[in-house]
Amino acid sequence: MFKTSYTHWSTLVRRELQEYRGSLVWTPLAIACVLVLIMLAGIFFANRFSVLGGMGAVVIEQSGEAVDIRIGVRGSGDTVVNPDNAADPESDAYRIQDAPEQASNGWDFSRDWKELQPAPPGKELAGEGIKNLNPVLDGIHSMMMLVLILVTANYLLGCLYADRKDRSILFWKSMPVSARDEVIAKLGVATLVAPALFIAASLLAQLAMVLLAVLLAARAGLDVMTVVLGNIEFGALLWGQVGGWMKNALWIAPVYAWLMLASAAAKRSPFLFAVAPVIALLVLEKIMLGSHHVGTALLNHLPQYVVDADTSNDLPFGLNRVNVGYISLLLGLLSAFVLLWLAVWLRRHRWEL
Amino acid sequence: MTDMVVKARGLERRFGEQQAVAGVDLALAPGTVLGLIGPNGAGKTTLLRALLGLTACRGELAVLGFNPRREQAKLMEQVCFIADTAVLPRWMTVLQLLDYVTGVHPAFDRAQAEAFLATTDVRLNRRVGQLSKGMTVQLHLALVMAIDARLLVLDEPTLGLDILFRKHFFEQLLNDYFDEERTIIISTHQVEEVEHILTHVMFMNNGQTVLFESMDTLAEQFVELRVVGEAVARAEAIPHIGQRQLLGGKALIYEGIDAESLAPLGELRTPTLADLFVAKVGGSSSHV
Repeated sequence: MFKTSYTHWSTLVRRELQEYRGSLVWTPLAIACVLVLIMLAGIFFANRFSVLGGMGAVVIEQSGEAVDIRIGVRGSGDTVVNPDNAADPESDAYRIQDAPEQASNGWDFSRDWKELQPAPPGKELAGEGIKNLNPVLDGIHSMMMLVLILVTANYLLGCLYADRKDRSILFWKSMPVSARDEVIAKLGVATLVAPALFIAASLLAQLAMVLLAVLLAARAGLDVMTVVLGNIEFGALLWGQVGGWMKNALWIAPVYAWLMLASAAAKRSPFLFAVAPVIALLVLEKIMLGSHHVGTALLNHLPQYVVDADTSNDLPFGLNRVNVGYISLLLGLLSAFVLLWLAVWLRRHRWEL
Repeated sequence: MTDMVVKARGLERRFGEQQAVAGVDLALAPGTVLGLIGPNGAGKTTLLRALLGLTACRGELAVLGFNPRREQAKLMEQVCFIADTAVLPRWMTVLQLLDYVTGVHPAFDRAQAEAFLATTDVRLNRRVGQLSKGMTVQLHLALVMAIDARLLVLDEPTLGLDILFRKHFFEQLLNDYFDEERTIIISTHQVEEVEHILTHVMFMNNGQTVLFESMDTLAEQFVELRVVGEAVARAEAIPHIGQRQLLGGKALIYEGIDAESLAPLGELRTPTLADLFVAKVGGSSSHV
């Protein structure tokens, strides 16, 4: 019995991944590869090792006679610290300069880096001013999560519409799979499988980036433990990235459910079906009541800080939404349930275009 | 009556003003091959979809003991259908399709489907979208025939295919699939091609059953008389349900008449389904 139902569900999920192979499977891998390639290209062509993300930047640069390692950490709202301020021990930027006589025109892996001098006074390798490398890695992650959300929205809008449009629903309906199972499988792909794939790809990219940094730091004769590995809080990173997603998933569940409902209900464009009523509601409320409850509720349940390692909040997973509270979360989950139920009903009874 | 595959009474379905199905009764025993024949818009597809639980309808309906509307997914474990040509998902490869059906259908015999496909030009690594229309139908038939179902519903399964292919399709259906336990319902315009495989026939027009008979009683109940010369006028004087021109004479179809009494007038034969259909449905209501 278990085997049968396992086969049933895994078949349904595999079917989704086959149909959306490009966006759900190849996209995260491609992004991870591109990020790694950019890092490598930076090393070979621009003599700099850099990772740019939404929240931070690492630059190890060899320019002329100097090798710089600049690690800019940017919290929300802060700007990347100017490397010229590197002399400031309080600064978030960090600079290492190699011996001036080491002139070279290219990044040379075979170069003997042991002649490098330790950092000048005031710029100790322990790196005061650098909280850690996590925000940099989180930058990679948030880029990945942003793409995940776009891809998932596209998936959800199409998943109960495309087969109605091309009439293949007549085939799916000839199989002993209920509308409820279909909707659950598709929701599962959107909330669990796709994020797992993207998070895995993100972790791979981050790992690659850390390994490259380790390699470069080792080549540069720097203490790998101190400069790179010591600056990464692996536990907090994983907790923030994986837990951050789970927190988000709970919050955005009603939005996902709404997109599925639009997909199941739309006759022409699921996107318009999903967006137009919301905009109409926002405008109507503004005109009629002058309030913005809809907007607030909506903001609460849209994907926000995809990465949130801040667990110091009062609420679990560090909920940090506007007017946040369990009520909003519970109402959201409740509406998600109702919307999904409607999507199942439409899938069963109103599937004809 | 409990072992009936399909039991329907007073089935009705409206689309706005239009009555798509208007009070259809239907009872099919296992082993029936029913031909559902009617002009476009007669309500055939709506009736079949009602049987399959794909559309709502009024009236009593049980298919294999299930309420098709409420238990559609369960019903599909024992019922197969090809609702239209070219509804297989185009993005899938043949192999993925086989994997899918294997995964979700408990009564699917994959080896059988693969053996069937091996006799065709359909290759497992091809995408459905790359297959020709004929190959797509073959693929669909391969899937359907490898499912051990009690009821098979085919709605215009060969629409748009050439005549050789159509003949092949129905031959395979009859030889490789049909047995005493299974029930098949076929709706089609190509009456003459299914005629020889049917056990029952149903004519529909304007949502209503015009005729529902077994093929055996059909031969007893209807007779076609071919007359030439002055016999035409005498033949026409006898109440008939339809007539058509022949070279130098006429063919008239009579219902419920003693065939022997007509014998002196000309040549007697059993009318073809197509001719009978034209007589019963094709604008000859004044004679009925």
